[in-house]
Amino acid sequence: MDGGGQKWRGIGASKRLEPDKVPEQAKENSQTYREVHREVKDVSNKNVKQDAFDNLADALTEDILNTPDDELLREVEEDYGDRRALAIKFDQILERAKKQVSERARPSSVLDLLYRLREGASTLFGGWTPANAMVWAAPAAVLIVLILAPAVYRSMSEVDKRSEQLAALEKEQLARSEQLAAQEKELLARSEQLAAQGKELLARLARSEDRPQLAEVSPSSALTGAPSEERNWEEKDRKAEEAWKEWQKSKSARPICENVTEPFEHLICADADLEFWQHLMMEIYRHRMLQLDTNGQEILRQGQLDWLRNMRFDCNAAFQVPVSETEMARAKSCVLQSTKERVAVLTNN
Amino acid sequence: MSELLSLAEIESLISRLTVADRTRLIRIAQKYKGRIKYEPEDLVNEALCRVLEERRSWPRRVETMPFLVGVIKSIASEWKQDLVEGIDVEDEGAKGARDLSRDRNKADYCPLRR
Repeated sequence: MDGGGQKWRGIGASKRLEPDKVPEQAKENSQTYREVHREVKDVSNKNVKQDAFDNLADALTEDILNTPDDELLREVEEDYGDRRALAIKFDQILERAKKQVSERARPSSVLDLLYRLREGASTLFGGWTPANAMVWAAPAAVLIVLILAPAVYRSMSEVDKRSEQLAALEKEQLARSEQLAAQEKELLARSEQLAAQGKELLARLARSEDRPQLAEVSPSSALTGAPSEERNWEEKDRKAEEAWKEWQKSKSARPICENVTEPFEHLICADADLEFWQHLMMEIYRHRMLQLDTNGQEILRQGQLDWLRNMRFDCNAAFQVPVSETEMARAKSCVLQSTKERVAVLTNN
Repeated sequence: MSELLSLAEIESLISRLTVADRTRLIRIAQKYKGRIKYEPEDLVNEALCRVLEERRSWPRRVETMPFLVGVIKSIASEWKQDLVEGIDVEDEGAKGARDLSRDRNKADYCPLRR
């Protein structure tokens, strides 16, 4: 049993091979066995207890299933004061389960919160009977109002905010329409002003055409009885001035853009842009005339006549009865361009 | 016709449970409360959830009460198994152990409402 025995030894055999320690080992082994045995016994007891409990529960379940309805409900009435107490509890659980199933993937809502509160109250205060349901109805209603109040307030705030935005928008629209009305008024005033300027412009245009003629006529008449050239020119100017005044008087008696007959008059009176540039050109011309001496005035006058002659030649259609609107437009453009160039020349001189 | 009930049929059968049958189901759940720390309502709730989610198939040949009672017993047994061996079920830690166990398979359970 020496060497060969070692081959067959099992758990704890190494200790048994030492003869000096046999009693101690035996004692130790015995203790270990007792501990293991106790543990096994405990587990076994636990299992036995659990099995017994399960068997009891199963037996009670069978008993409940076999109890007649009336007897079962009477017991419930004795325990809870209401035959339907547990049935109502079941309905609540069923409702909750249905909700859970449908909301598994959805976040909890306000209604869910209310449901939780109701469930909490139910757990705290026992069975949910119709009597205490009535008692709790009022606090529940208050609770619902408290919970929903912020949401309602938020909605109302939203509505108020929108109303304010609409009011602001309306105000802005009103201000804009007032601004537009003011702009229209201004435009009207400007067009009236332009119309008046156009009339004046036409008058001056006519003067610019006439004055050279007067100037041309005057020297010849002045030369006949004048002793010196200087006096002749003075006389010429005086007569020219008188003739100019007469012409102005006759012109002012006749409104320029009323009863116009000449095609050029029609053209000027029909277009605000043209009126403006003609007026501007005449203003500059008049201003230059006042600045210059007699000689200079003569040169300027001659230049003006040349310009008019060239314009008549270049913008021939403006001085004839228009055949078509296209011709009229072309004539207008031509006169406008020529007038602008003349303004530039007068300004630079 | 399928051997299993459809959801509509399940809902219809559950809604037709009598007052006595509904009372019985709660009473039975109460009997299984015993050594495991859950509320009878939780047990019934979990059973109904699983049935309504069709995680527990309902064979057409099985009647309503035996089927529902079977589901309740099955869940009670499952939850008892959830309590890891060696933990005294009477211990205060039992509830925590059960909760841990549930967290492990949270998606499989309907949330508890206490």
